[in-house]
Amino acid sequence: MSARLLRALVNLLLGLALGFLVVAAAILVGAPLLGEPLLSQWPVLAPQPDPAWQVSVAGIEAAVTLGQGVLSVEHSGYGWHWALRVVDFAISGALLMVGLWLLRRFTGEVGDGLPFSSGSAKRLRWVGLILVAFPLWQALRDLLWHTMLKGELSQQGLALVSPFQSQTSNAFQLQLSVDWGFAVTGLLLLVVAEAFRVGVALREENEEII
Amino acid sequence: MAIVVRLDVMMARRKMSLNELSARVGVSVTNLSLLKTGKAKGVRFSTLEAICRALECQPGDLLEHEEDSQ
Repeated sequence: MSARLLRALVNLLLGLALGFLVVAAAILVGAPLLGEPLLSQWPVLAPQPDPAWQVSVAGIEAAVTLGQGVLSVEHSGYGWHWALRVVDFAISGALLMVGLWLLRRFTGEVGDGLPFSSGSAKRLRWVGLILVAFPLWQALRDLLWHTMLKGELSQQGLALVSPFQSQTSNAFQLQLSVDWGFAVTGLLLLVVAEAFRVGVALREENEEII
Repeated sequence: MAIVVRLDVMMARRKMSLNELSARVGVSVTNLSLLKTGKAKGVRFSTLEAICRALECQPGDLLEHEEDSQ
């Protein structure tokens, strides 16, 4: 793929991401004003199916096993749910936009025929760090949500445990919705950035030899 | 630096300016100036050969080893 095409692709992605963030911000701000609920979802596991779900029919025995599912929470108004979503939106959006912007600058330098500059190596390293940081933020965000939801929903009779707690028979275990693929890609980019840094040092040394 | 470049001495002997040497050797005046002032990290054999040809001298006339003063 040529550098020009790559840059066009990154520009397109940047535009789409910006558009998506504007729409998401409008929904985030506007939904509580219009009285519309915001929906949040987390995967849950049921460690042991409830015996009440088993049915016996003459000749056969069938069991419904609810092993995993999705916990959906609808929340309205400007409470802590909303505040946490705003924080998530701000941090995830900032990571996305900064990452794409740095990638745009990098592809620009590649297009100009100057990929081995100290700036490009630094930008590549930052993109890698952002990709590593993103799933960590997702995990932290989920743990914050889990802590707050456990407190609220246990009062309503729904037993929830965090991903690191031991499972009990009648409790649903909340799972982290984290994409560790970002971290792996980020680590690969950090390796490439280090190779670029060495390349920059070699180029600079080569330039000092006449 | 242990290796000292005596390019200025040879240029003076041949009465050749930096611009003229640059044109003959095909190395920029900036790089020749860096070489002359001892600020270059190294010199390629091809550059050395071109300078020797232009100044009609041997590499030993251009480079000299000096003991580092402690």
